[in-house]
Amino acid sequence: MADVLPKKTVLKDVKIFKDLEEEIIKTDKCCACGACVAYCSSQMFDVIKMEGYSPQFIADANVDNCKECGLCYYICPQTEPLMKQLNQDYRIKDKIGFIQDIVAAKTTDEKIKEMGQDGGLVTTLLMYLFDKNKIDAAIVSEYDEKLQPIPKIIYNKEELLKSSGTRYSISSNILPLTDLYSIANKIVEKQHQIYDINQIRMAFVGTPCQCRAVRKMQLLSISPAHVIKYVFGLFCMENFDYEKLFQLVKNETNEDSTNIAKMNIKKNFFITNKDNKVYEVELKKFDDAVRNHCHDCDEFTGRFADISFGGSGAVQQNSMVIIRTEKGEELIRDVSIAGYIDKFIPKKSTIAEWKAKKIDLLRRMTNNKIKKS
Amino acid sequence: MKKLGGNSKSVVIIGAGIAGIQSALDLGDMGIQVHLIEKQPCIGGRMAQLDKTFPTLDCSICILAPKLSECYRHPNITLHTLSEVQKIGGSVGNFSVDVLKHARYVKEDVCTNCGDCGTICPVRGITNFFDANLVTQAAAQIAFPAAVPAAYRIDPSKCLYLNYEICGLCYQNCGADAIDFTQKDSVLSLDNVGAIIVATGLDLAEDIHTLNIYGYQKYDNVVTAMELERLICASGPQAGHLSRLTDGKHPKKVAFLQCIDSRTQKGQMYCSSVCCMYTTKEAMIAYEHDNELESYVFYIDMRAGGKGFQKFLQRGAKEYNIKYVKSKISYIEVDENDNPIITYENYETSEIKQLTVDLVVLATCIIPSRGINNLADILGIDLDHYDFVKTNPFFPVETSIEGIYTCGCAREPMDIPRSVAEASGAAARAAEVIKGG
Repeated sequence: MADVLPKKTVLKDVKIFKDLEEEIIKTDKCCACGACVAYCSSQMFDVIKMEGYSPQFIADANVDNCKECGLCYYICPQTEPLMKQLNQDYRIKDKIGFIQDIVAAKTTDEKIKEMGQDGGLVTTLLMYLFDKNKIDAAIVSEYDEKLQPIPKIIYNKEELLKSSGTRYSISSNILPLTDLYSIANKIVEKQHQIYDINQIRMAFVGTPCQCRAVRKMQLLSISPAHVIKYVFGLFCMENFDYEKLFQLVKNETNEDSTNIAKMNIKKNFFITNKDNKVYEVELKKFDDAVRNHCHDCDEFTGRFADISFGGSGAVQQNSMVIIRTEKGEELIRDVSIAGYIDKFIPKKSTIAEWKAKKIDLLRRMTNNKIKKS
Repeated sequence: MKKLGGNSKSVVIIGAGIAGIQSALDLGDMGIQVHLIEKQPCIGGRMAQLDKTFPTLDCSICILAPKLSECYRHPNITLHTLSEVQKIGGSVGNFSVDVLKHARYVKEDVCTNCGDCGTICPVRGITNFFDANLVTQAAAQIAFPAAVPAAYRIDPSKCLYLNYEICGLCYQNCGADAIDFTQKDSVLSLDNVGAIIVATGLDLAEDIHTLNIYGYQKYDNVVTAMELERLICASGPQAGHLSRLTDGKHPKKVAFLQCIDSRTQKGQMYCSSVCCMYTTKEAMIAYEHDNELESYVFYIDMRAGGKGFQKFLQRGAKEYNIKYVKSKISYIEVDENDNPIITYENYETSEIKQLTVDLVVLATCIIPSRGINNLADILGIDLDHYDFVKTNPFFPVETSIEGIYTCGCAREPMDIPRSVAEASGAAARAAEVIKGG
């Protein structure tokens, strides 16, 4: 074997992917967002890949390809670096995060009403952004035929409906950004205002941990997350391991993943099969399938999003919306003026009382999540 | 080339646009030592951004590029890029000038301008001022491939190594070993400076405040004249194929709106002086790219005060399908295909009319360079109430302080030929001081 020349570097004591492997991945704290792999592969360093839900070296031979730049460790949502700065930037003082405004709202679009979860808001907002040509693409997740969520890049609102509704296991939503070139090619075919691939405008929908990874990348303004213009967070109590979840579903209902039409959590787990038979299973029974990293997570409402969405606390057919940033506020205002959404107006109490009550509820739920772990 | 004795006085020129460059070359050719100070990482200023110049329709960078490299290699000219004047002392004939030199973090004389650092740099999305912020670049960056000095630069506000001590990929990737993170900002003290020339040039209205009139920034098919200049330029973001920002179609009907932010109490009160001419120039270039193009110039009054200028306008109307409409714009909307609809009053017929076009170009006002206030405080020179350098009509290149001269758009809005003429004038006055005339 040829001698490997020492790497030319200016860095001292930088934590690299080996450290990430030791501290996060091997200890089962990895949230499978795909940020490290998306960054490294987009640079074409040929070092790491996503194996199922876990990042790892492509092969032993690829270990030496590592440039030891330390960015993967820095941008991992589960590591310490940058968190202080991020908390400051997003004005986060407690577990629920900064709340610019809180509203409940529902879509006015009939199709989305049918397909979406709760108020169908995320789908509606993305539809608005596509309609008004404010984004070129969006990263969402979609079920495959075995109900495994897969990250998907969509380029127009027609593809949007497939991705509405909630997923209960994780998809590595940052991962598809790896191939920014082919994303750019698809966009350039339709729209010519892009002079370079760095000018693509995308919206990102993800769990709180994924949003955190995106924000870490954006703080450094590094490729490929620099193309994300809107970050939509989803309320997240916990996430299930896909394999374990469907093993348990099979045990409880005797249904294969391919024969399940819909799943929904409302106090208990409701599973509907393709013949419209509904099973109700206690949520506790699925505890073993909860991903390990969720046990340490203290984020329920998505503190780093522009806007976070969830069903908790909203009246029937509405979504709860927490607006975090000015960009988020502007968007919600524009969308509601354009008539895409209907805001919920409380009848029994004043708006201020209603808001305080809702914030209190979400705070309690956040504490529940922390206690549970 | 002549060179005065080693202990002779030098001239400091602040600003390396076409005016500063012309002064530097004049003085350098006389054998006088010149320190040319530029805030940006490269020299050339606004002229380097332009596609063509009026009234001859010469390629701007083709005229400028030889001057740029001459400036760089001239034995009597020392170029200080990324530098600012921090302090001055003394008086005419014997100034001392402290120059703050920002670190480039790339060895200027070693860098081969290959671009490997910019390719591997993970930081993306930093807008490039040179392309009117229409394209973005990495933290290891160069304004344009032919920039002088032909060296990359690392943006310290975004660089991951300088901020977090991670990354270092450019250092690893640089074949020439030109990256030098040990560089620090430093202060250079220049003594025995005989005279100073302020040639800080111009900025544009859109640079200082968000221009939100006439749908700019709201509608993608409303652009500024500088943006059009880059869009139409062969080395610009669209490689010279003028197309609309919304759908990439070639515009067939273009409206040029004059006096944007100038001659108004809401913006600048003065006439920006060059817009009537450059608008006609831009309409002509656009026509040369596409002979089916119709241009409409919405103006208050045409100001063509210069040699051959009136003829230039007439040529525009006759040969380049430009229609001049004396009018007042009321407002702009867009239709469902993003085509701007202009509502205006035609002054000649007093009718309220509407015109749908493919693209609107705003002739934005020239304003004094940002930072002129700060510089004026440092130098102690007076500014007029628009913040241009105050001069006497009969001594147009002299500021309120003896030994400090000015030229070009630092003084008032003017075109390139006049800037060059004034630059030579300022150089001559500075030479008088040095040579004891």
